[in-house]
Amino acid sequence: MDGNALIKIEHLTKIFDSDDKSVSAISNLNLTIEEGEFITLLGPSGCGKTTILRLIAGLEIPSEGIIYERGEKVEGPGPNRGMVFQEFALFPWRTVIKNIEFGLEIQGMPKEKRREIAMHYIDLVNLEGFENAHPNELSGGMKQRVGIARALANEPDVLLMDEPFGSLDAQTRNIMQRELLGIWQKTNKTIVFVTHSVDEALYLSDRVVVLTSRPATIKKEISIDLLRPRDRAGKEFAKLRHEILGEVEEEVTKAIASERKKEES
Amino acid sequence: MKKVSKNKLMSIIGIVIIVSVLLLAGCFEEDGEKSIKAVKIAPKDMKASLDSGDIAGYVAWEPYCSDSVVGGVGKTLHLSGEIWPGHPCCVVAVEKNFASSNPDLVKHFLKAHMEATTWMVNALADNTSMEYSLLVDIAVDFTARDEAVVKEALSHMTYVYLLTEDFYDGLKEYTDKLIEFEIVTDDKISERGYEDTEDFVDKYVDETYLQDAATVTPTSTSLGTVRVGYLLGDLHQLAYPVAKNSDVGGGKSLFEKYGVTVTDASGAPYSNGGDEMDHFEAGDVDMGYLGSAPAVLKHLNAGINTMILAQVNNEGSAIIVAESIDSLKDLRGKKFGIPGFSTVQYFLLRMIAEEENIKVST
Amino acid sequence: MNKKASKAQKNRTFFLSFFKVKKNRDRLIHLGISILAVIIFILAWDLYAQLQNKPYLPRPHMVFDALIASFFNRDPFSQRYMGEHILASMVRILYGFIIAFILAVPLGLLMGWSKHVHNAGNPIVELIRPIPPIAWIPFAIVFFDEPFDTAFIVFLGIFFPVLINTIFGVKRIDPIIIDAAKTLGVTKRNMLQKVIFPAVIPTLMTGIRIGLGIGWMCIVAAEMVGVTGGGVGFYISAMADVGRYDDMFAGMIVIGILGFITVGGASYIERRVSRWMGMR
Repeated sequence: MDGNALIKIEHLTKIFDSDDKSVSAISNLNLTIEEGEFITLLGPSGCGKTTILRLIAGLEIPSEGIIYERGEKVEGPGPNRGMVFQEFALFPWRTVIKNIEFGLEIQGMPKEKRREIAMHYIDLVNLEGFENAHPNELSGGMKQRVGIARALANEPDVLLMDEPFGSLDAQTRNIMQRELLGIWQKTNKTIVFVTHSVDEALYLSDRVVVLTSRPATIKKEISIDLLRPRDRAGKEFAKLRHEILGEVEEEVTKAIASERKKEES
Repeated sequence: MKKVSKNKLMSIIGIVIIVSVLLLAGCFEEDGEKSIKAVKIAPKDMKASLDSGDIAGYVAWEPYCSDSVVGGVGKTLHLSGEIWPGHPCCVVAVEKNFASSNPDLVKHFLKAHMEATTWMVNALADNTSMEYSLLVDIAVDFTARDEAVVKEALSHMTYVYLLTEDFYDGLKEYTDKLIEFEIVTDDKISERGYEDTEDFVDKYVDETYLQDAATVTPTSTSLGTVRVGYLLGDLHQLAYPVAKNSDVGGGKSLFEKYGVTVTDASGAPYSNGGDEMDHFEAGDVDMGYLGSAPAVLKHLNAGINTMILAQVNNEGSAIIVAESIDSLKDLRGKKFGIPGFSTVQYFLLRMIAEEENIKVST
Repeated sequence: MNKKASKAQKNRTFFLSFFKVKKNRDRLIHLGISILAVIIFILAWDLYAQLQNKPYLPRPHMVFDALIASFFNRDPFSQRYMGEHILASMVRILYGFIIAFILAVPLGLLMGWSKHVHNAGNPIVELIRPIPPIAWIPFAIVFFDEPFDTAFIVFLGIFFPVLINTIFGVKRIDPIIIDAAKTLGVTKRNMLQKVIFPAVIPTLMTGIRIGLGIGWMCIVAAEMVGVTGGGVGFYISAMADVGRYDDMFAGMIVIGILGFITVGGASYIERRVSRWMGMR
């Protein structure tokens, strides 16, 4: 198993220091992510799950511990770890196709070639006809398709997705989840997905990692062996949902209690 | 693809237009090489501008001429009397309504002016007299220049209060020139209710006040207050501080002697006669010392309700140039300071330039 | 797939044309109100001028006559047509603008991006910024030659709005966009060119628009003192000097119109660029 590890997180701790206080976001977290796996980090809001993703991306530096990617230490952001943001983070002055080409343009790939690759990903995320639209002309779901295609165009080893469907309406979210699975199966990418929705985690992942409230550490890992496409109304789905929900709610209660304590003191 | 190239084309066209405008502007400048470039500079700054090389010469009134000559910054190219002998210069003007409602006060003011002028003429006649040194002291105080500058400047001064035949002729000649130079249009003469320039000069200069003033006697009663306009450190207008000086009148100023209280008008002293005319219009000034040129020009063009009652001086201006300049021709293509476009000094430049067939532009 | 694409395109154009019709009608109403306001303003001016009956407040038709005449007659002082005065003023503004732009944009980008550069530059900028450009006129006249003496005043007027807006534009960039660029392989070296600069363009354009407006105010003030080569500001001050107030107002109206055209043009370009870049 260890031979297939794409990302290995060892004793990861992150403390944010500001002028008047320091906040411990992650405490001694160990996690191994396998090649080709769809793994979800699940936890209550503000538990530090986004921070884990940003650390893997290299956008933050660990206070302690090491993150390895294919055995090499992560020391900064790089195109081999693509990221998809909840806020889409598209370049508003670039058209859809130019957003998708961005990473290739940075690499210095010739125009014709990168256009070809970009068109392939436009096809993959169902954005034909919108190549020359600007992001502000698109709906939220379409924007996130661009976000996914842009990250994929760089052909990264892993796709880091930070609550990518968090700002979409329920209908669109379901469609996007289904399409994401399709893309994952077609590209065989490793996906690290962050969400606070138990339902989303269950529907998508091979493995769900439930995190504790701040500072985040692993509370429980659950492998989901259900066949895809999964039936959200199914019996086994409901049973797993019940089980995981219990774990998460415990953490939410704990988080509220600790907040209250802080206020009192 | 097409969109991009279109935008590129647009920006190229834009740059071409900008560059050609800049080049074109360069071509226009060529024309200016042959003319004297008149620039408006406050007289008090003229010496410094000449010294710094910013201008090659200037035309101004005293003491701003002698200032440079004595200071070794420049030399006199032409005294104004050489350009236009006996040309009118400063006058006493009055706001018409003020004159008609306070005729007595105006006459008493003029009497003080007459006596001050006579005293000055006598003082200048003998530069060993006590009066001369008192005059120099007053002038030093008024102009904020040192004694050497003031003495040099005083040697070019002709103080006179009478409205002579020459003055009328000069004023008419000036008005005709204004029309010739298109600074005033014919319409303006008729718009102000005059038949022609001669009629204008006859009506605009009212000598009755001065004639009546001759019979005014000293009085111990206070007749009222006059708000007086005058120019900053203008040696031509020395009659004003002289008439205010108590030593001249023997313990009592000449204004006091004739029952006149004077106060500086709001904003006075002004930097040129045009400004003073604006203050007349604004109702700040009752009577004022100023150049006859702005008094005429702004009355005609802007209808400012004034008239001329007496002369103050004639001539007394000069064209001052840098050491390297030997003739008016040498000034072509160079910057040349003038006190303002409404001044007789600007006019003197235009007159001599016209004589020598040189263009004056900016 | 092609069919799908063209359908999507069609949907977009339908949407746009619908907006256009409504927009055109709105625009007509706005234009009508504006024109009406101008007419009322001119009528009020005329009424007041008639009541005053003083040459220093000429009636609108007199100013209009003087305005027309100024384009066909040389002025008596500098022997130039109004067209030449306008050109002279525009060239000065253009020089001031180009120099301000070349210096302010890179400096603004650096000051917005780097704390150290900001700390170094900010005190100097904040010390010089409040000084009205016209206060520099005596210095500029002695220190620079035409047209750069007046252009320098314009430069000061334009430089600071462009600089401040550029800094503001950089600081306003959503940090998530910077993060996204980093995960896509952008290095420190090309961040400025590929992300910061394009992101700043709309705010930069705002700075240019404000700067050009100030530029016209500066040029008039600068040309009123010791300037050679004519210019609309010169025209205004010379005419005021000799009491030709109808001509003076004509010059003022020329400045007003030129400023209106320049700023209007700049804001049109600002809107076009923003829309073209999809930033609005």
